[in-house]
Amino acid sequence: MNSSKPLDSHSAIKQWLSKYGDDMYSWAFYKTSSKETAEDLVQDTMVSAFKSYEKYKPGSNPKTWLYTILNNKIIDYYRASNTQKSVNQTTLQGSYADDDNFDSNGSWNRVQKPLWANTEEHLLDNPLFLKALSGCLDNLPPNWKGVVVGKYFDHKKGSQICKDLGISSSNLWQIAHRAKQQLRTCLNQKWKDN
Amino acid sequence: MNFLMRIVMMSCRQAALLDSKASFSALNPMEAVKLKMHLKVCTSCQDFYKDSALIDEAIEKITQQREKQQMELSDAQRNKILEALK
Repeated sequence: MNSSKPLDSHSAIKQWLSKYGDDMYSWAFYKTSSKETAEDLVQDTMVSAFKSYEKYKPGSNPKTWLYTILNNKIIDYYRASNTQKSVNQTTLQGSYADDDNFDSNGSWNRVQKPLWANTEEHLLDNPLFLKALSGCLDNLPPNWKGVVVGKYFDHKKGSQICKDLGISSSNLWQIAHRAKQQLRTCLNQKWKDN
Repeated sequence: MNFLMRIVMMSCRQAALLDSKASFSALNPMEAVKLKMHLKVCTSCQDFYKDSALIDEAIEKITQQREKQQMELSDAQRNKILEALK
């Protein structure tokens, strides 16, 4: 019996991949906006499922089981991106060298043309505006994006996002703050080109 | 005005940071009052505050649109994944 088990798990995974692979890939892409990352995450999930196949309860919904693994992989992916230098304490609490929206006194460095004042059209109904923002979102550094995904895509509470990403709440506010600044600057640049 | 604001209240950066904090959890009464006072007198921050809300709304719209996007794994991608199981 034991010798036939690996074969069973392999064919089960193969079957699940053909059945749920596209949905998982779509989900991972929705969460990461990178095709390569999404593919890697699906692969990691399938490898994990294969290795821990004995943990799968026969008769239960395989999709649910696979998505639990996949969602954990997505959290791990963003958590790993937080170990990068860009969010360490010195960058966050030290100088804002890379934040060119404020001067050393914390006043606005340059006055941006406010987006909301764009009254000639309803920006939220403008596909081009949403497309521009979409591009800006995809360009955020992965560790900032983890916060954006948790907040807007998953509607998670701040405390849960902190737990997932392994950051403090003040880090969370800082990252969300910087992401917002960058999005606004990016939109201002992109929108001017239109 | 800028000088007075810095002494009595807080910088625009701090105000923007409080806006960020407020999107996750309720501000304490002191923070809430400071932010309110700052926003009353600072037009640049009023603009930012409105843009911030606009961006929030726009991201919500984008997430709804994106969720519907269906993607497909190519045969090569599938084979690569199956290959990794060995």
